[in-house]
Amino acid sequence: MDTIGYILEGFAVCLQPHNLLFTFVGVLLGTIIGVLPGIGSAAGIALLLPITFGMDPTSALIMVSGIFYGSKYGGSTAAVLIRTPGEATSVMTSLDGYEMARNGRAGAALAVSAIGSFIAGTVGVIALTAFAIPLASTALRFGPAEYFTLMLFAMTCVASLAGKSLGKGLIATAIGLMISTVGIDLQSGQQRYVMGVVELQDGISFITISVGMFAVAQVFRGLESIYRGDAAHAMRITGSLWLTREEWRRSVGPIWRGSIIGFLIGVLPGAGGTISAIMSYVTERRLSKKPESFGRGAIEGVAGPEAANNADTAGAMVPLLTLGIPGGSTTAILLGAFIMFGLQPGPMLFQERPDLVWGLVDSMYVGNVMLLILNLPLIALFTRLLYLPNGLLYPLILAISVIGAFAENGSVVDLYLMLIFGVLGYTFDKIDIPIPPLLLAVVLGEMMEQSCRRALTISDGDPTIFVSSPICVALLLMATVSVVSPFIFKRLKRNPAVAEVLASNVTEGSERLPTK
Amino acid sequence: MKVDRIIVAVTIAFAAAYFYQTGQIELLAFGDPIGPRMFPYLIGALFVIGAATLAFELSRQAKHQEVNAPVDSPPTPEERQRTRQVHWMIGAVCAWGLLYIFAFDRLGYVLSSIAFLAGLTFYFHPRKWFVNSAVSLLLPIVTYVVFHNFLHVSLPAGILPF
Repeated sequence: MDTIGYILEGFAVCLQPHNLLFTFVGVLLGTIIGVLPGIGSAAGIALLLPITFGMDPTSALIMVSGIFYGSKYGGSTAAVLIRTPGEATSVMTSLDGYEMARNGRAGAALAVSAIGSFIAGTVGVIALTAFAIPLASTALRFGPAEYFTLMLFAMTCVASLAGKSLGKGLIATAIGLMISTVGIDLQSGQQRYVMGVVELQDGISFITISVGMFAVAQVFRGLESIYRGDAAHAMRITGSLWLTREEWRRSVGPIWRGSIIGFLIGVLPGAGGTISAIMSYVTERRLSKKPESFGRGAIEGVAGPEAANNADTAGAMVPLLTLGIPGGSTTAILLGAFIMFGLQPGPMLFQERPDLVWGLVDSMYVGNVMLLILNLPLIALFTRLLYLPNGLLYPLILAISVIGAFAENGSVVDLYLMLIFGVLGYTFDKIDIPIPPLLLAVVLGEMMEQSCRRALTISDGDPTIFVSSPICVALLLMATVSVVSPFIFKRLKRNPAVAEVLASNVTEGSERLPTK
Repeated sequence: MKVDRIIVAVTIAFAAAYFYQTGQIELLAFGDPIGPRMFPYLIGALFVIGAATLAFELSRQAKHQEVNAPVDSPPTPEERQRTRQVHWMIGAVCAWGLLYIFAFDRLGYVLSSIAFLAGLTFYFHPRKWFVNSAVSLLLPIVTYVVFHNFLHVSLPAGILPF
């Protein structure tokens, strides 16, 4: 079957009534999660995974992916109305979006966010469709050594970009890898680090870790903000919910540029939606004839970054689906969801389950249309969520977290572990140890070890197998570059345009800048 | 800076303990030429590399700060007091969570969750008796019914007869 045939088959899958329903549920939940400040798509997906237990894998993954890209739409609402991004990736939207709201143009800011998100999301999925088969075909040539170096590259990227310090990124990666080795070793059958706890013999569930590190830790941060009395208050939507001709004219260019920037950065492991949004914002300010209007309600400062962070989600799906390599914490949880259903994303999945892969990709076209419909006329309804008292919301998240952690194995030990990981996540946030590299290492650790051992077994213990093919050498070189990249980023931050943006606003959000 | 120095020290100590523990993993005499220790040893090395990189970053930062005077002002006594109170509050929530987990399979999901939610909502959302009571009662009951009957995820019934 050719590419067009696969795409049509995908539409036949995703347009089935039950899959349309799950796409709708996914994007609706994603929008709600995006609107609620601070929860984020990673915590949201981790919390909601238990409702997919027992579902058909295609429907479940369509729904979970819907939560992922749906959350990007919702993230702009809190950014515009309370200057606190619902998603970290909407941090740049909060700069000019909030100022537009203060100027009586909240409706226009939310409208351009929704339209920009729709165009960029659709452009991103078209690019994903175009790139998927060539990349997956290339990946068919990968052996264990290539996979090991690929995973090494992904981890070094995330470790070096997802935090303020490379050292802390490496420590976080080591902690994640260490967690992945707990349990019975698959090849020798020996127990490792189980400390006499029978429940640890099967390893530590990634759902438990992600619910603890993201959801429970976020609850602790939220309770802290209630306790300190610094919770944000939402503005009312004022003005027309549509753009004037002039606003539309000014938004078209940033939306297209943001779509391209977002997709390209999304494909790279570690960079993520926040960096896409920053790059788009900086680009628009540079191109603007009135750069001084940025930060004071320039619609270009909303349109570009919102487009970028939505195209980024489609970009992030490229390495996940074609190579089985996630580039950040949310895609790591998505990979965990695939594995939970007994599926391994990568080139073989394109051959063995084209219905699932293309059903999922095509559902993103449908989901983006649903999101546009949801986020334009119904936006006033979603903004009601911002008035939900935090004192009620956070205990509810904690209670749902308990179900999430317990449901997979039915073990109370997982609940204790969830609480421990929650405290660790909260503490790591305080001391600036990034969570994304840790989670990525947890998810990839076992595969990485198996690839490494298989490669060494093939080569009879000779480590030169890792430099024996051009792909391995290229990936190792790229891993080296990614380790050096933080120093390049430090130089970039000295650039006046970037430095001003970062210094003035980024830390005002609920999440830190470089997390994905 | 001080916290980061502690992170370096703790990571090195942890790496040492990890190397020791890895050495305790039993090896097979045949059938597994690479063995279960190799990858953990690499992880131990990564801990050391991470700590060394962080120490290097700290030394560069210290040199930079000698040129540019530090700008962070120390926290006021009120801020320190507030931070201590926050830590106590988080500790209390964790203790309440531990109690909840302890009661989870003894009392059952519904009863323990009602008590857990009531405690948290009445503290963090005070004076809203009706809303707090309704949420604390309804969420556990509704989620139990949905997960047990529709999603076939079993949650402990505990002392309740269903």
